[in-house]
Amino acid sequence: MRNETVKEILIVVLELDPGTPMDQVSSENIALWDSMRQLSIVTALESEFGLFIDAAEAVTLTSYNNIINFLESHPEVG
Amino acid sequence: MGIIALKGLNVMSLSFLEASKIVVADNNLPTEDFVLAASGQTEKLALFIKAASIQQGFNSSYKTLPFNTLQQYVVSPATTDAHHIFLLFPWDVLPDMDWRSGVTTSEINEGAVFQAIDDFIEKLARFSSKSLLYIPAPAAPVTCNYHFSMALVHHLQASFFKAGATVLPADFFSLASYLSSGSPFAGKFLSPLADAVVSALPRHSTAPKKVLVTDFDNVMWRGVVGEDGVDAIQCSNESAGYIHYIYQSYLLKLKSQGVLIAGVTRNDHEDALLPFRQGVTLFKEHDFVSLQASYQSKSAQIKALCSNLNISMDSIVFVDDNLLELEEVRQALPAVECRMFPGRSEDAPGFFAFLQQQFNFIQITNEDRQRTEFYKTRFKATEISYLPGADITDYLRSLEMVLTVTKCDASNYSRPLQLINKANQFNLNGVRVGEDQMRDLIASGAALYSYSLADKFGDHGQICSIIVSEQGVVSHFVISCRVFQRKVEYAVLLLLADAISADTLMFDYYKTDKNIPFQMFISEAGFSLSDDELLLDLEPFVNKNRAYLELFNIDGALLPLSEGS
Repeated sequence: MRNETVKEILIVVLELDPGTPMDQVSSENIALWDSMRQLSIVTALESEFGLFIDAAEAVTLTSYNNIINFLESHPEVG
Repeated sequence: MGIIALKGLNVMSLSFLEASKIVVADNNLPTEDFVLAASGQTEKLALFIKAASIQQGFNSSYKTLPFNTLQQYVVSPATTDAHHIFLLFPWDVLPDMDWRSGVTTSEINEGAVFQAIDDFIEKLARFSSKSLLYIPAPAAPVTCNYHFSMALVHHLQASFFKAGATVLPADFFSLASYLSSGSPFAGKFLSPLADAVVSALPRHSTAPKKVLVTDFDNVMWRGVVGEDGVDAIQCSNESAGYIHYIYQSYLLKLKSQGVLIAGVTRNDHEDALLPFRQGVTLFKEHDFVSLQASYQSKSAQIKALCSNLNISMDSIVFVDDNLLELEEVRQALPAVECRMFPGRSEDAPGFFAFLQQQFNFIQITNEDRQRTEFYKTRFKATEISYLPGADITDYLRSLEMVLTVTKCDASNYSRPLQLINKANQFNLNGVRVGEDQMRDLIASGAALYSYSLADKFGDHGQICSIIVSEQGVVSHFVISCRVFQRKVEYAVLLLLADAISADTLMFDYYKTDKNIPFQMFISEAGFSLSDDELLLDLEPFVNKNRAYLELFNIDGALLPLSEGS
């Protein structure tokens, strides 16, 4: 469920094709992933999961896998 | 849509993905233009503002200011007549409080700081069409004097209140977001913040309300006067009804400010007035501009009130303790502002703050003070014509009601008999039954059925008792006034109809001074009443009302007579 939500956020914010393999989605290979979209992704994660994401953490959230790892390290996220 | 807890209040909140879905859909809604004037980055809010405005029936189109230019904007000549929504933080008034600037080493002049606050608010006055939203976020320390810092924080907030601002929760600010992106808004609260922005548009501004319409039982006093009697109700400052005493004293305050107070109750007229006439209440009968006591729907009574006083629906605030009454009025009269009377004292401060916002008078004139007397001279008591209330069937369905049927024996007579011996209003005949008598009735083949009700908000306990003789005659039938309007009376008779083989149900009916709700039910449900008997022809009754049974999940024995006969 959590992974599906992250996937849906990235599809909406980065305007991805729903069939895009998520393992390969990162700021390095998605041209649209600029600082503004990064801000939207962090906003969406805070909103969907009720989190406060610190600046130091926000800059590490640059790929689908990083985001999943980050959420796994936050037990309050269901 | 989820619910988030914010300062003790539950606030409806859209998530990012929910907001995205609302915004994607095409619509033909009108567009409203405005300027969102804030010093920080507002891009994070954009999606939520769009979604909130669509939910409120329009598309928003707004301009924003370049980052950190609010101070210049406030002093430069106006370039647009558009409505301005100022979304302000402490550092917009006093830049030294801005976290992004670090802590200033310069000395702070206390007098100059307070003057700067006044000057800033004065500059805002030149924007003719504006709304002020203030977020009292924690600010960077500008002085080592803790007490002065606190005074400054409170002075800022007080100044914005005086200027008519809506002060939002400090939780809407996120320092992490502000430092990393220049956007001061907490991602978790973007939805309620966007709602506050959209609600600040002039289309939502309304004049202060003029009339407070109040229910009586469990609002003006604790208890139900028609059931418990006037001696049992409580509304003094030395009783469990303390909160009702405070409410009545607040009504007197509102009346002194020119607010018209009207009473509306589904009750017997004489019963409803007894507490006032016997001196139990602080608020007196003559303090009301009008009193409507009848068993008609609340919406019909409020309509009659509006017509008599020649006032519009949107000038009314309606207070009741019953969710169903509030929903009925909300559906029939959407312009009326409805509010639940607090069930717990802890919720009272929020309730009174709400009333203060609704009756928000800046100045009070002598005319205001005399308004009740003025309107009373115009008010003509008229009969309320019978108007059916709003159809709240969908709302009833949403309550997920569970009706539990229990066939009682000597081990569990007590509560059902209490109900029979207490209920006055929905009561077949007012005849009371003692435990010994009940034992004899059971021995003669009669059955006592007790019905409990629960819904998604909680358990209402045992709310209906019926005694049926072996011959199928209903000798006792009472329902607690707490669950009127829920169609329980139909459901229990439909269950009885399912359980017996007869074509007709007979009732030992007597008209009493107080069983008017039951008399109304007889006429509404199609009973036939002759001199000595009350009959219900089951086939047409079932055909017409079967759908009411679908409002309930039924739990327990459905066959009242099969076991006893």
